[in-house]
Amino acid sequence: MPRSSHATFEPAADRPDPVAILEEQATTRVPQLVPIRYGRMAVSTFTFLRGAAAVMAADLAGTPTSGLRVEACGDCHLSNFGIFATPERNLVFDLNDFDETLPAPFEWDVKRLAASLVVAGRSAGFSKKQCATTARSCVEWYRAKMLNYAPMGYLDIWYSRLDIGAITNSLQLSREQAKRVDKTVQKAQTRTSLGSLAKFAERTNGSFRIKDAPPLIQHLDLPDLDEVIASAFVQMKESIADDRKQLLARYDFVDIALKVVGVGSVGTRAFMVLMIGKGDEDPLFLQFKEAQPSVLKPYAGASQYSHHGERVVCGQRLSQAASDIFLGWVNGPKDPNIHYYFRQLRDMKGSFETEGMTADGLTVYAQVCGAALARAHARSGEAATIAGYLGSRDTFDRAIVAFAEAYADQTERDHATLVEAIRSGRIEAQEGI
Amino acid sequence: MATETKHFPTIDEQYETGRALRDDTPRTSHAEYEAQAARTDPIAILEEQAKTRVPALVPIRYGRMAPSPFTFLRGAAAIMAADLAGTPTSGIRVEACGDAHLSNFGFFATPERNLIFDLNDFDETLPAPFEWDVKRLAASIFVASRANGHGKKESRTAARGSVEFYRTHMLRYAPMGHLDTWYSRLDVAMADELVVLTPKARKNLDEAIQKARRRTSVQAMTKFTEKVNGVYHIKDDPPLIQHVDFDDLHALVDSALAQMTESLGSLRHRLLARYRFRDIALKVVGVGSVGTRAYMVLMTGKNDRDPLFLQLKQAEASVVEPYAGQSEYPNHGQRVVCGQRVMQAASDVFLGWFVSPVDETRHFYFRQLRDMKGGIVIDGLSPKRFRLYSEACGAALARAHARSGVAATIAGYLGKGDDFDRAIAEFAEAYAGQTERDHAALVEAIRSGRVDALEGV
Repeated sequence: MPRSSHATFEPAADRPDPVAILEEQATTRVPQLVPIRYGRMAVSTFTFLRGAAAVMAADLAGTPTSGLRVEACGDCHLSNFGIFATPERNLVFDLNDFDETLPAPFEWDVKRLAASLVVAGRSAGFSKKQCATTARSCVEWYRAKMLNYAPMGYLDIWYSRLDIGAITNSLQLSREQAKRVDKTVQKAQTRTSLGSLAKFAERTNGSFRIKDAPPLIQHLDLPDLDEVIASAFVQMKESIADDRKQLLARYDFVDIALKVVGVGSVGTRAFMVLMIGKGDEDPLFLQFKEAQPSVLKPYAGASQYSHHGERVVCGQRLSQAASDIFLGWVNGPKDPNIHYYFRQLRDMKGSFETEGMTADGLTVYAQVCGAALARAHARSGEAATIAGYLGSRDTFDRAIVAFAEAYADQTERDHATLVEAIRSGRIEAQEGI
Repeated sequence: MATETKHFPTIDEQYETGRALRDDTPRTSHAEYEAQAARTDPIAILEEQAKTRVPALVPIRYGRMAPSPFTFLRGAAAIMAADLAGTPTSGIRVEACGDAHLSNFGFFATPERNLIFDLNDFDETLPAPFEWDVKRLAASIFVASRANGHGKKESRTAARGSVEFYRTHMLRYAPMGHLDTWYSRLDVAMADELVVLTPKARKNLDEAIQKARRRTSVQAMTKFTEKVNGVYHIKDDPPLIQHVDFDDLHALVDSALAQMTESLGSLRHRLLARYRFRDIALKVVGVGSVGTRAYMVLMTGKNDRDPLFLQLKQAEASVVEPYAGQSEYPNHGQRVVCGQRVMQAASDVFLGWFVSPVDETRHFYFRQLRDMKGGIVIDGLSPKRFRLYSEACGAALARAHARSGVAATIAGYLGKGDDFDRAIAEFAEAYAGQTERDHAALVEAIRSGRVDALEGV
């Protein structure tokens, strides 16, 4: 498979209507929340792309690949990278969304990342040349990093990570860019469970309760909530290691509410849970998120894990340099066919606002994303083989840029289709939330 | 929706709970040590342990315990466990190390490659009274200090220093949130934040850090292997390293690799699956555990220059079990691994357990043989530097206990005064006397031919 072959993107003759794909996904979601999803996707070409992992997966399936597979993210657009604190409290930059993870061709992640960069660049009003430079730099860094990983021992790759401090020191950032990084890091460091307590909870009659903020945060109306919670907790302990089990047991359940998050996953079941440890200034917020089959599944094959929550957690642990200590999975206590994974809601998680970045700034960000993706792929894939395929020249990089441009055009057409579907009343959207 | 107001004990309440325990068990009561009237002959305890061990290796154990009261104490966890069982306790339990003598602390690299100072031996771990670990640490400090030629006063100061650091660190953990305690660790690079380093101590530490950083699988490859006909093998170095033909060995390797992947969790199993098995040999390690089955395994990853050495070590019932109760884990390897993960700030990525395929009563755990493991050599430390090291051990033990125990309750019991510190130092001195007598008994047993010892290996 020549590297230049990756340049092509031609919509398949029998390409399904993109809105039909979204409607199909909506059939398994909470009906009242589906309009919020459409509303969030309608905002721009870029928000459409964020929500359209399933649409793009179908398109990628028709593109050429070398056949080299890795544990792929499956939804590798630029906003699914970010910073978070590791178990040893290092602040790292890494992929942070694994809802669609599955073993798949490495090119799919690279292509979705590059396409998202061109779409974001266009949204920001950058020139064609600027957008191409951004996407090419990203792929160039992916390739260069993969060449670095190729000769490294497996454990050295396993232990490697992108520390936010080390990255910013290694890049020659402008004063403006350095300020943006500092601001993002500082903001992430305040995003802790303790900070969330003030934001999301209130104290009534001496005990804490999550504040309702409909339609985004709402309590459930379940008569048997206590049993549901108890059953979930029994299951939680089964999917985490014994030491974490002991740690979790030190916290008491306080409250649970539905909490809408993201773009593409809006409408899947997602909850926030408040727990309290020592005294009452020691809160722990967990997020429970429904996991459905990966959007890659029809094209990459079924997961080895029959539980989709387990698929997400294992893919995340395999891809990330270090992961949240409270990652685990459970079945729905009322409907065991609904799968969930859980994690900490806020553990110094932060993301870079790409809106408002200069073209140079976006290029630097793109490079770091490329490096982070190479690191993630090198943990599960054979770095030397991928590096051998990519080579030391930029043939692959340029091909992916051409693809990204063509796919950005496709995304613009698809976004227009969604806007038209909303306008015509084919689907109902709730905008602005 | 559950609407009743829940009450979570406040830190002050937990602290009070601890304080109230002083009524039944005054802190000064910990000073006592009286050999029990019906105290079992210490050599008989060692002989009892020898029954389940590899007979050919048992003389090495006696030989390693015989050089000094300190080497004896290191190997005598079972003897001391029996003695501790008769001492007063507040009743506050933690996940205890069970063998917290000062040489069981050291450096190692975490999964995120921080070099930390922590407990590093959990063969005897079990939930037990926190005082048992504190007492064994303090006694080992007193004995080691005496072995270094320090005076009684200096030895007492060092023992008391370890307890003072244990207590003051526990007071620090008392108000901290569970996760903050969980995440805390003692970085070797930050040693000056813990203790006041003298220039000589700084130099010692830097050398130890450099040495630890060099102790990797790649270095072990040079030290432990040789290439024969193009293939790497572990070099025999009898009696300490040898290829053996135990009944279960071949089955052990196959089944170990299969079972290992289960206890590692799917993620680390994917990493282990990238390595190929190359060789296995028996490797004698430690003092007290000599004679249990311990193997080193050579695996290679990307190529021959990407080695991974694992240690497979047999785990028997904890020596604390007769006095503290049974483990919740049916597999002793699992007991060790889970105890280690609960107590250490961060643990080896390749920590797991399995059962012998031919004898299901034989349990094993595994870990990396060398992953920047190292420590301060205590032989020859000046009294001042020895005390600093003792203090660091006390701080590390408090951190380990705070992860599983209720720090505020322990802190409430210990209090701000030094009553507890002085009591434990007194205990340590008394128990050092006992250890000297026990050591003499072992030397006599060897001299008289009651036990067979192989010395100098």
